[in-house]
Amino acid sequence: MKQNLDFFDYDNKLRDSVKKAYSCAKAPAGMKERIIDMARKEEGKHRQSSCTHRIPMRAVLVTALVAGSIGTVAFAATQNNFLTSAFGDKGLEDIEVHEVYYERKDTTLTAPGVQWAPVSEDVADELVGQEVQQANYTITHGDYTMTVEDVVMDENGLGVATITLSNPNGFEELWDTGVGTITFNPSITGVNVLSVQGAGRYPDIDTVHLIRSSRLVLDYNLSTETELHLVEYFAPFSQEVAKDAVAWRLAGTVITDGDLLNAERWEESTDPFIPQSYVQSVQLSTEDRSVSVSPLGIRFYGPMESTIYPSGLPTYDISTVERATAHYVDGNEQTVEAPFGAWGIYFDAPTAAVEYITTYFNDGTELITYGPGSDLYEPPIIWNVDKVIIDFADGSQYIVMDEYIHNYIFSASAEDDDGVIFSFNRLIDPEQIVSITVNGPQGEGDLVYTR
Amino acid sequence: MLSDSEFTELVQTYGDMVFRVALGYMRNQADAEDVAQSVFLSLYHTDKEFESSFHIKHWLVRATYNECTSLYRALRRSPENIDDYIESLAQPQQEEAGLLGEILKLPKKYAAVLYLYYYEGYSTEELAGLLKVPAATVRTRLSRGRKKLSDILEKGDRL
Repeated sequence: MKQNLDFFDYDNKLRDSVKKAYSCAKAPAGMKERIIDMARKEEGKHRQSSCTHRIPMRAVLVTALVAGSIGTVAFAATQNNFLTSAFGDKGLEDIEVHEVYYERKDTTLTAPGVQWAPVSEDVADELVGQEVQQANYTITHGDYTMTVEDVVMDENGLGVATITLSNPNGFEELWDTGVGTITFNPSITGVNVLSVQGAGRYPDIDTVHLIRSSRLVLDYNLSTETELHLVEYFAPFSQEVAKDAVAWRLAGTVITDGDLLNAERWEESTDPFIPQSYVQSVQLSTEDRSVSVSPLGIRFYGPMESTIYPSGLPTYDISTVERATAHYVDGNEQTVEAPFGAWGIYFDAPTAAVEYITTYFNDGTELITYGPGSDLYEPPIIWNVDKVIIDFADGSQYIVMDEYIHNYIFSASAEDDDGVIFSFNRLIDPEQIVSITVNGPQGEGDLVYTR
Repeated sequence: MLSDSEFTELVQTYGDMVFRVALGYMRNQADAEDVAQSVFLSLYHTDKEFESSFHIKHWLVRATYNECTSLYRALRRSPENIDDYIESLAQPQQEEAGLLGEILKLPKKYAAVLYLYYYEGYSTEELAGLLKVPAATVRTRLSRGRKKLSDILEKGDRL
């Protein structure tokens, strides 16, 4: 593998070329004026007046900042702000409900999992409002300040947190948001990946451990050029870990000489947040299994050790992985042998430089995964069942997942040998559940959990 | 609803962007102008509430793609030769215009991502929302677009 990737120098050259090329493609002379003139002529002819009032951008921003600044004295205001950010309609109507397609090898999969089910503040308040707790933990590194504002957690350790990340120099070079990380252009910011990640602490041990899975959602409506408002939906590595304490980490990869392989990492962690209360869950069961479900998510109790597989090809076990190759965006590759299976494979360059990873199994099969991260190769999990369905008293159904679990949920985690836990993409009322059906786990027939 | 002064400002601010997005899709100046006109008149008439300038820009890009798709289907014709438009651009920018022509000859999905990512500064996640494809697909298109652009630049000894 080429030792000095020079990716960002290369990328900046491409950026400059594109900018120069498109700079000469301006709207033709007179086009803008013609459009403005045409609109004026149409005024009063077809244009309808509206009873609604546009909210000026400045007003929204001021509201957000004021709510944050008085958060320590006005719990109700903070709680409403939290509920709006975490569960309200974010106004992203273009990606709310639609079908998208994954192009993975030659297969096209329908993936409705990016659906976001907005929940009104009133419903959210009723279901989880009383358990919203203020954290107000702030950590800084250089010009970056991260504040974890409010948190709500359920009995299973699933949680939601609102986070503000600010930098007076702005975030113009923000590249991406994804599972637990935000990526910047290091040639501008000096920082590549900022990892805003939830963490859990084992009981009686001071070391803070990362939460297994979290997903950050950028609130475009509240965010500004210098302040990003994020909502994190997280699932724990372990129920006990998360219930004892949760902490958040801000980490960065600093590129000083343009060489990604010489990048330095830094990280800062908040003090552990110890939940004072939890959103309650209800229990449903079969003859020999049980499930715990709250408005935020669900926990299936084991044994599940034979049901956890890498995403995409559920028939393969990660212990059969022989090696994996990271394909970098500049065309370079790095192959890592895996004598003990996939766990623990590390790649050298940070996430931003990785386009996709090819995993090779011992039977010659290959699995391609996009953007799983390069610091730690950890395939996402999939629970090898056909479908999980919740039936409610009013006759409605919520199909929680089908075989592509990662498409449906905000985050998921497998608790070693003791079960599967994941969060919903909406709030539900557990009291209205009649039954939960799991189709075909481990080659068995349907499991029906009832009260 | 937008006031006349707000609308005028938005046309002045985003007119070039809408034209470029439309040009990349339609590959014909006249069609791109038609799309831009239709998009801005839709903006003028909309009752939609915009919370920020980012929201408006997002809406304009999305509306431009929708309009392009509709017009392209309605026209039912072969892609236009972009060379005519490139030749019409001013001579002092000959090199840049040549590069633009080559970018616009790339498959649309790559040219669109290259423009929106590098010129307009959208993140891959934002582009996923705009283009209605997964972020992983955007990253793949961006990577392949980079490779094709690199080939173009290397061929012209510009990289």
